[in-house]
Amino acid sequence: MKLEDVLELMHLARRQYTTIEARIRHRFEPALVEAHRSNDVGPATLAQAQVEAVDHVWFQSPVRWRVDAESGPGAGLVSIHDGEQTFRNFRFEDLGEGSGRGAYLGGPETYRQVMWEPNMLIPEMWLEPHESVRVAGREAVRVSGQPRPTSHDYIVLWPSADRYELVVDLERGILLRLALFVRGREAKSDEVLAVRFDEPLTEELMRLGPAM
Amino acid sequence: MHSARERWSTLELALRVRVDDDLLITSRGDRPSLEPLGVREQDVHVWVASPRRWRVRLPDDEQGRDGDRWWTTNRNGFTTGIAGRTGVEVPESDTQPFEELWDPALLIAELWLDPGEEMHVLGRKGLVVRASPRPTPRPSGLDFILLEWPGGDQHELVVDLELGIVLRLRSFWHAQELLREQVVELKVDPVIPDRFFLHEGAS
Repeated sequence: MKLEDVLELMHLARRQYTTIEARIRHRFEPALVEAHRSNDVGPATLAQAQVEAVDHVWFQSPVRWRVDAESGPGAGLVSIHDGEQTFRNFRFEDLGEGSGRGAYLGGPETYRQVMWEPNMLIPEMWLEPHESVRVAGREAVRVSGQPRPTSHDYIVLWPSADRYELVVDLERGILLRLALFVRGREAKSDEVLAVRFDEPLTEELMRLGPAM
Repeated sequence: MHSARERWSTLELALRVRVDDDLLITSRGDRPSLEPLGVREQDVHVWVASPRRWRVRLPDDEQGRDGDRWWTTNRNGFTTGIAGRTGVEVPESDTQPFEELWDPALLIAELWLDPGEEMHVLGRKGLVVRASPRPTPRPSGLDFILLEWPGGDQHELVVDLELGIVLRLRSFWHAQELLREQVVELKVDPVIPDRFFLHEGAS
């Protein structure tokens, strides 16, 4: 697949769906992420424990979404943003510190904005398409990314990484996987396990209570 | 547009910039000025080697940046500002002057782009691209980066088909032209002395 085709897919992704429902596996290596975030330039450490979590995400552009943390450190947390209204079943101060905390603070990272609106990543990476792959049962293309400093220095993906790996859905243009590599190791990744498109986000879903 | 920055090593641009200040106020929903402000036209000269090394000569002042240090002088050459980045923890979020012309990649993220017909500007082949705003919430809180100012409800670019840079940017509000930035002279890969971007090089 040509680079221009990948760019077009990513640029047009938001026109290819009205809503998204996805289960996403989030993996990260806290020590590595923290060391990189704090600019610790010490020698690479041995591989440390990797944290894994699964989140259930519903999203409707621009900012209507619900995230249920199914497993992992945040299991049981629910965060909803519906227009001007926000609902959570937890307090931020109860989340504690650490890199896992950021995943539930309620911003774009929580609902994985860049996976559904990958146009935002285009200026931030030099991209190179590779082989076809299947993720979550969907046809896709694997794309490697190198940092492309802008005057904004990774304002979307922060902290930056040494390199990135994307899997772009060939039909919808969304990302089925996004991984950040630091010092040769995968520091953080999100991968779609299952996805459905264009199902209405009901009023019931957008209020606290069990997801329907 | 995505690879524009790989297609030149240095650029020297003479620009003509036209801003309709009254329309700008109206488009922002602000109260119009009692006295019409009219249309402002300025000639600007830009030298750029990278997003971190550039120099801009405006009618009333001059600005430059060399790495993490940037500076401003007034029309008499007196220094009016000098600053440096103070830490590595926080990503920078400032746009560089006229970055939308010489490194338009960020526009891909904030506009819906609709390529149109070819045309010539400065004897160079360009592609007219009509564009509409594509607000996207960002961690910074802004919906746009390069086009947060001037805003507008439609834009038109002329993209150089060889270099990927933007030769002309027009922004509109209700079909009236709000802003025009037009390259009127272009030098590709001119030799620029190393010290040219330094504050000490200001004259």
